Amino acid sequence: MVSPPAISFEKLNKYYGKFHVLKDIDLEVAKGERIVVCGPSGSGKSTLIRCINRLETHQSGRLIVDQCEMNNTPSTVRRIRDRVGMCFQHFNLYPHLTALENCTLSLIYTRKMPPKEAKQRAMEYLARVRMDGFAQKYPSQLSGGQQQRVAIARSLCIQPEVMLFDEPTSALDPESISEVLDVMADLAIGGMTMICVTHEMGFARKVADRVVFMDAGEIVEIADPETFFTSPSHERSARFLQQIINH
Amino acid sequence: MFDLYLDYIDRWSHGLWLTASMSTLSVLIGFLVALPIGFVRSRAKGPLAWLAIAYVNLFRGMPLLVLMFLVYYGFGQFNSELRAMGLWWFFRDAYFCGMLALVLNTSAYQAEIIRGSLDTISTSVIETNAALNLTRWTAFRRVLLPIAFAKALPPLGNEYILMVKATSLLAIITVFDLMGEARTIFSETLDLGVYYVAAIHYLVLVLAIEWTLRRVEARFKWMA
Repeated sequence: MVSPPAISFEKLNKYYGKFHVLKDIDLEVAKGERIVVCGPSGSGKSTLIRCINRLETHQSGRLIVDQCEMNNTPSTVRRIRDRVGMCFQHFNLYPHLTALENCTLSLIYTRKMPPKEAKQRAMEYLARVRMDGFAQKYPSQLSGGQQQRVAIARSLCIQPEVMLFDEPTSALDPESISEVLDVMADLAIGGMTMICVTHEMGFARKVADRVVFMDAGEIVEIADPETFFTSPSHERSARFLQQIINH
Repeated sequence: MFDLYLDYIDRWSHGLWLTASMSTLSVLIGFLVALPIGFVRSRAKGPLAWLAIAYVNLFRGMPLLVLMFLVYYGFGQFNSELRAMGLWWFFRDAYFCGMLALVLNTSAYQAEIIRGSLDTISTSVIETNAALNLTRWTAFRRVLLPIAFAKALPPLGNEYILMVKATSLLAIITVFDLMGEARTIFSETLDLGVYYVAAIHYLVLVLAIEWTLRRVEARFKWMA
């Protein structure tokens, strides 16, 4: 039996006022699949993944996350957010909490886990991103790459079914980029369902099962990385790849 | 001038104690009153928000001295009604009335400080709260409040210092704070040096508070 998809978009549309940001999005993500979403800025790729945990609302179409259809009911939104982890471009760690406290906050207060157990779990995941030695540091004492790794650990703590990455390396220096990408590649090997908005084409080639190329709110092309990078079937994707390679 | 101080040291100490305690207490109580008002100002819409705006504008728009007169002398006119309500013990006492006026005044200012610092919390923090599925209460108590408080600390300290000096108005409604004591000592000695002694008291008190505030702010090292 084929297991149901982790996420499926059916004819999903989103508008910012009159501006049509997402146009008839159809996309199915299987459990354990690694998807890289790329495209020029303003193409709607961030908006697309932000719909998945309801940081953005869609106006028409269906969005099913882990067999649960997204709607306006707070309990549905909570249920879905419980299964979806997210990492942001600017890490968004809480500045007033230590790395460890950042990780335990939602475990203790939303999931009512005893603090001791929460700490234990947080330390486990901090170790997985190789940040266990920095558990007592505040974000302002950490480099960008370190902060992003803590943010990844924080999302993993809730043991999500799906991880979303919204340009996780765009705000980082080259050295930090590779330390974050390494952690993400480890996650991929572990079988996590991942959707990454990123311009790291090396990462896409190595890790992604499929690449989704978006332009002007549409999914232009979906292909495996080999095909996408060597012989893109669409003129717009070819032009985008040209720009990325030549820059 | 040293004589003026040493001969009346008991009175000066009493005045200093009263000024320090009444300003500190009014700022603390004012903070607790301002917290929900500032939160409503920052986040709510509709009738609740209008009430909050009305509160702030009313008590910020009125000179503190006028407010003290209204509470102490104005309410005194209704003494029979207040007696009937069992509130006379409060409104016949200049200390309580002064305290009430101070709290009303400072809470209006502090509410605006709190609103400002809540307003400057970036939307990315709010989105993170949502992505991590924090409950409204947890988001407020564990994230928004501490961040807003740290941002508000310098202007709150400023408000504290302003309040220390504003308490000198209490002397006019017969409270024996620093200024009240200074006035009685002057009436006995007719030596204008009394007011230098009072000024030095205020200065030293403010400097001590400023020093303390700097320590407190330094503890928020994560703000860097």
